[in-house]
Formats: sequence, C-alpha cells, structure tokens
Amino acid sequence: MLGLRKKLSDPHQEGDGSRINSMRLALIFMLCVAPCFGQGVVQLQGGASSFSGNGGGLVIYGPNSETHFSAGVINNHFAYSAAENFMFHDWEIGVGDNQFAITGGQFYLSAPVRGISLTRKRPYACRNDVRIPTARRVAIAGYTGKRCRGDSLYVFAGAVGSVVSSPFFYGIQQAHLGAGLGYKRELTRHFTVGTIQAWTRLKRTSLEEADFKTNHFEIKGQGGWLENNLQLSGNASAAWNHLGMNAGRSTYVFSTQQPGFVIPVSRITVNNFGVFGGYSHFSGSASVFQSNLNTGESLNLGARFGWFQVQASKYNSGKTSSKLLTITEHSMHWSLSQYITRSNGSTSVNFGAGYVSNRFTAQVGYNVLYFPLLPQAQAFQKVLSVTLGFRFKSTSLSATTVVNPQAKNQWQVGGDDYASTPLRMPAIPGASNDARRLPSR
Amino acid sequence: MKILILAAISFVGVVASAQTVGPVFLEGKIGKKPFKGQFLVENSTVHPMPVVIEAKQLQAVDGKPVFGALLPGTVVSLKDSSAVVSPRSSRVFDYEVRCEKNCVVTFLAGMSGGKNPQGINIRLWLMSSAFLCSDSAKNCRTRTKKAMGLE
Repeated sequence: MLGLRKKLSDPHQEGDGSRINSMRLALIFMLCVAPCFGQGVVQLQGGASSFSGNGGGLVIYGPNSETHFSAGVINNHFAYSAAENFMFHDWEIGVGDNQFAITGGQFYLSAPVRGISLTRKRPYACRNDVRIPTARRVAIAGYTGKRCRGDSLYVFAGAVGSVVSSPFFYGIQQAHLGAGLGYKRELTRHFTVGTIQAWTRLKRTSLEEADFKTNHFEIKGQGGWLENNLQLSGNASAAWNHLGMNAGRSTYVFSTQQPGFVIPVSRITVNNFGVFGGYSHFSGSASVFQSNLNTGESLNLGARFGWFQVQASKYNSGKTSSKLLTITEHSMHWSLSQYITRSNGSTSVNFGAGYVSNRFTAQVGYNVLYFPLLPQAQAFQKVLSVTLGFRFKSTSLSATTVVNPQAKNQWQVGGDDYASTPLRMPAIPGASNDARRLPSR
Repeated sequence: MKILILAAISFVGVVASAQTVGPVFLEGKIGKKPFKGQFLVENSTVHPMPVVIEAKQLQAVDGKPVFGALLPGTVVSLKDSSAVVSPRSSRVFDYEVRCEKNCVVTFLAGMSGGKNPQGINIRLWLMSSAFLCSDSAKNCRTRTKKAMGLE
C-alpha cells in the first residue's frame, strides 16, 4: 500500500497516470463518436425489358439502416437514385431520393423528393394523467383525467420533381424546390381530422379532411386544392358481416397551371352508389355512377364451391357494354381458368393455366383482348401471355411477356439475390435498430 | 472493465425480425381420402432462415390443452419436414392428415432466431393447426373445442 502511494506520488509516474487517463478518455470519446460496425447484407437486383428500361440497383442492409442505389436507362434517358433510410426514435427518416406519398381520404399526393422526408406514426392510446406536486407547481395535484392521443405526421423538403421508374430502378427528374407536411390526428376513438399542405414553385396543395367512424358506419369529407385543382368530396358507408353499401359525391374543378391563380375551366361532379354482399358460397355487388360527362353501372355475381369458382360480370358505360363469365379451378399447385367475354357485339373465349411451387412458377394464358387504340377492324387481337419464375436459394429469376396498347408483345426479365457481405457495415450513431421494419421498395 | 462492457453493448446489435405462419388453422372433413392442406412460412428478415416442422396432436387432459405425440390412428405425411427459407421470401409446406375420429393436428414451425447477448440460441415456434371432423368441416374448430371443454 505504501509502495502504491509512493508510486502515485512519483512525478514520473504521475505523468504516466495522466497519459493513461487521457488514453481512457480518448477511447471513451471514440466509442461515443465513432460509428459502430456490424455485418451487412446486400440485395442485388436488375433486369432488362423491351418497354420499361434496363437497369438495376442494390440495397445494403446495415446494422441499423438501409442504403439504396439504383440506376438505369429508360427511353434513352439515364436516371439514378440514392437514399439512406433509418429510424431515429419514433421517426422514420429518409435522406436522398424517396418516392414520398401522403394520403388523406380519397386524395393521394405523390411527392418524389430529393432531400429529406420524415414520418412519425403514433397509434391511438389513452393514459391516466396523474400530476405530482413539485416545488414549482403546487396548484394541481393528483388524477386530472384520461389523456388520449393518436396521430401521424409526414414532412418532406428538398427538390421535388417527376419520377422516372421501372421495375428495376427509379430516378427523379426536372426537380425544383418544394416542401410539405401532412398531419392526421385522432381527436377521439371515432373522430379524426387531418390536413395536407405542400408547396412547390408551380403547384400548391392544401387539403383538409374529417372522418367519423363507428363499428358499422363511416362518414368522411375532404376539400381543398390538390396541385392547384379544387376538389370537394364526401362519402358515407355502412358495413355489416354479410352486407355493405356506400354512397359518395365528388366535385373536381380543373384549372390552368398559373402560379398563384386558380382559373376554373372545367367542373366535373361524380355521384356514386354501391352495394355488396356475400353469404355462404355466394357473393355479389352492384354499383352505379353518374357525372355530367358519363353514366355507368356494373353488376357482379359469383359462387365458390371448394376448388371450383364461377363469376359473371356486366359493365355498362355510356354506349359501350361488356359481359364476362369467368370459371376458375384451383388445386394445391395447379390453377385453370376459362372466361368468355362479350363486348360491343363480339364474343371471345380465353383460357389459361398456371403452376406454382416453392421453386418454380409458370403461367400461360391465351386471350382475345380488345385494343381501343387500333382501327376498329383490328381491335380484337389474339394474345399469348407467358410468365415464368424460378427460385434457387437466395436467388430468384423471372421472365414475362406483356402486350402494349398497340397489341405488340413485349418482354421483361429480371432477378434479385441476397448476399451476406464479409465487410463490416457502419452503423448510424443514435439510430434505433428498427430499420428493418421500414417498408421495402 | 466499464469500457469493455460499453464496447460489448455497442457492438451487439439486436435485429428486429417478424416471421409469419399462415393460415393459423384449417377445417376439414374426415373422408376416405386423407385431408390435404398446406401452410406458409414467411421470412421477413434479410438472412436465410432454417425452419423445422414438427407435427403434434392436441388433446384435452382435465380440461387443459396438451400437445403430445400423434395418437394411434392418426397418420400425418409431410412432404418436407425442414427447409431454409430465403431472405424476404416464403415457403409452402404441404401435408396430408388421416384420422379415424375427430382430431386436431398442429404443425409447429421452429425458426432459428440467432443468439441472445448471453450466447443462448433462440428458436421461435409458430403453429398452424388442422381441425378434422367426421360429420362436416363447417365450424369444426368451434365444435371440437367445445367437445374438449376448452371453451
């Protein structure tokens, strides 16, 4: 003990002790500041197509974040995107290129943003508010009532533009500065109000909504400007176990794209009513809609007995009408379908077959389709569609054919793979480990 | 020592994962042919996930549910009893069940969940059950549970 005291009192040893202390402090500082590292997983995806561009991308799943890169060529234009997504406390944060979307009632605002986007969702929950007297606050103490809260907040800011996308990649073009927010608050368990506000150089969005919902009934209304166009909408619905119905009315006023001015040039009001039900093996639905441009109705009846399913549908819209009879047989891995279509006086028979297993998927269909863009004499065309899929370990490959509106067959092939990387991926300081619950794109 | 503990806490990451098994139950009628069913195991993580399947039969002992080995008279055939489910994908397991009288066969899907910070292996068990009745498949689950005194 004396020896230790002697050592500590030695001026040379004091110098070593301070050096050790400073090294310790430096190590603690590095642990706090330097990012942690963990094993990462890389998802590679890519594909080629005769109609939707060629490209690919990768997603790096780090210890608490996701890093996205994608690039490709579509219509002879190069497009790319890069984004980092992570969770910070309750906030879902996206930095870089994100296809941000805010929904409110029937309205949907899509904002491809190159900047930052934040999302926070808090489910509706109640708690008892009990205040404890403190030295500063002695007026109110004890139980003061039940406090309930539930809300969701969406914020974005940066360069907002139009999105160029294909199944393999996406990019943002013609971007200009913009920002916006959406906030939805559950005032009670049955009543919700919300607002969407967004600004860009040319377009402005300001929407308000209210929603009242009980077990069987729901009434909601929205109104405001969606990208400079005035829109008003109301909807009421009722639903029970075997029967449901809805009715709604929407008004859209379209304006020219003048910044700061709203000039109505066209006004459309749509009324719609629908009823649907199902009991035991049978189901059915009917709906009508009416507007100052067009009117229409649809009727749908179906029945299902084990592996056998039959459905009959009828659509009328203005002067056009079509009838459809579909028969489907479904077993564990196999499915067969046949349907007869009668549209504008012409009848066609179509059939297809499919096989689905854990390793292999195949679907072949032979259809006669109506192409409204072709001359009337060639409007009905026979189409063979094929879809093939193959999965081996972490790798999946798919090939499919698609018919374009000019009745020409197009093809598309793609695939993706997951691989663990030997590299240690850096972690974002302060971010939570819940990044994996981010929605995959 | 404190620094080592701090370093260990900093480097040990807990991966939030959510595996899914569905459907939770199927109802069928006992016939001449065995009852054919299937359930799906979904891996929502970005790592390959080994899965093992075990078939158990549910019985009521003194009004309490007990999972035990298959009883005599119950025949279960599983096409695959184990698999490695690829990242962010799913796998379907097909099975056939034959019973002489009303029965409940439960398929336990055991999924490896990695290790906890103390190094102990964690395995998650999720189940899909087949309720078979001799008279009709409709409401077989409710009737079986009532007969077993579980409701």
